[in-house]
Amino acid sequence: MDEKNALRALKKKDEAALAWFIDRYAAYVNTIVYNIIGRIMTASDVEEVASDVFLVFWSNADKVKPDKIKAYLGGVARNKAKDKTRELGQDLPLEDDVIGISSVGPEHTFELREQAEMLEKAIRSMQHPDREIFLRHYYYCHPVAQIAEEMKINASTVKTRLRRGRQKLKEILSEGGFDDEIKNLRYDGQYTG
Amino acid sequence: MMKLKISDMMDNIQDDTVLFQIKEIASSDKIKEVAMNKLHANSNTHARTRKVSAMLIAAVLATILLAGTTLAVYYFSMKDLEGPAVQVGGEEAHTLSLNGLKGSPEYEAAQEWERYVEAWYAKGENLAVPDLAPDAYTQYNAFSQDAKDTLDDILSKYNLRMHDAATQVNSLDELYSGLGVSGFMPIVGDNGTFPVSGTFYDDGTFTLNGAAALPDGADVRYQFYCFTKGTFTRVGYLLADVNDFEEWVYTTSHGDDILLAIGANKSILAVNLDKSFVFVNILSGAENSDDNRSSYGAKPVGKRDLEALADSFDFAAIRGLAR
Repeated sequence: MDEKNALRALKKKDEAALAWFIDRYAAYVNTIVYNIIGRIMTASDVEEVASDVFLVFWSNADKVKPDKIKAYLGGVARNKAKDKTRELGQDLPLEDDVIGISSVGPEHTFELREQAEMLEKAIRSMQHPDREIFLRHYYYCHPVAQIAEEMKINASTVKTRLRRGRQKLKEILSEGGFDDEIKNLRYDGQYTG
Repeated sequence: MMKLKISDMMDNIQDDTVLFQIKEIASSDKIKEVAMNKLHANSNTHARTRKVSAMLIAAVLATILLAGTTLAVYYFSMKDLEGPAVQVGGEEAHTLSLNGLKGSPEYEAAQEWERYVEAWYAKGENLAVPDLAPDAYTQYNAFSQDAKDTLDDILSKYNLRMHDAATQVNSLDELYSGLGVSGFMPIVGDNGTFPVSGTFYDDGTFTLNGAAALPDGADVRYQFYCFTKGTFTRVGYLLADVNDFEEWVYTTSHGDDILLAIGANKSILAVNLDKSFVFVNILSGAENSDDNRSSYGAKPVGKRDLEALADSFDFAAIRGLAR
């Protein structure tokens, strides 16, 4: 069976297809989940979350494209594990996770789609290894030490690259916010920024 | 200055470019076993509950490679929210339960208590008197000793506890501060000027009248109810007929299964979490007729709008509220 046929079968609610995907991606999903919650939860908790990821895939197979399965599973695994940390009131050990956009007032909102587009633009503009470091830390929630070890660079370099990535993201968000401020000004005639 | 959390922004992107070290933590067979257990458990209904023994699990696992069987994944439906019929203006009206699924202790206790309260009222008993000192029972309309004793019996019967005193809030910040959490509701519409009001209890139960901005920028107003399981809330029923809705189960980007239902003038969102039950009465439907008070003036919503609204609530944080 290949992924395309397995996905087709999964969309028809074929349990054998689900089992096939689990065999193929269990280790990948487990690793993502474990990297986020392994230090605060048990092995059976990791298994529970990992199994939930595949059940979400089962329910949403219709929405997944054949060439995006790994990315989809990774995204769900990451979000589910992150949700677990929130349920327990735990913070992720991330560097400067909050950025301030001074050109945009607090009452302004970016739609989720806008945020995702600007974030992807920022990430695409980063060169290697900055892009990989940024994704490892803020998407996969790898601590700085783990990134340094796996990428064979020192921790201070990781932090420097993360800072650069945050700066790039701020620039792009600020540009997007400024454009929307102009729209708001025309809409209600009152500048609130 | 606007503040954004990078890791939260990452919730809505996907990546498969990073090659990290794969760890051998659990075997795929173990993940399969857990996943299949849940898949088969979810296919049960109240009438069709069945015990799945370890041997049956093993038998199913052994056959999945041989046959392409299919099982529907069952969540709960609007029928599980049906409340009692009530009299409105001399006519019988259908209702929906706000605080739990049919058959749950919270649902049954609420109905039983309401029958007592109505019966006493009809006989002119258990009336609030001017010099009555308020206590924990007052919020449940238990004023006489007989009523308090009856309420205690019901709570004992269903293993529920009373709420402590309610705290009123007039903003999302007050709600977050009171519950000790960071934001978990969508940004309020009208550029933050929409008047929010609500109530919360120390056990994590809360109600909120709020609003959210839909993807096209229109606002939708809602009444959000979150009841911690194991507690007793005296809450009314929503006047609505389950047959007037089109319902479906939507899985959010975070993997939460949400029951959504769209009607002509209102819509419903309901989630059965581990430790709490959430019911959202959305004051907009597919049509919003001029003679409907709740949805009058609101922009009609579609299925995608309700799914976007479901995605905007942070159910992971809401899960953590129950105490």
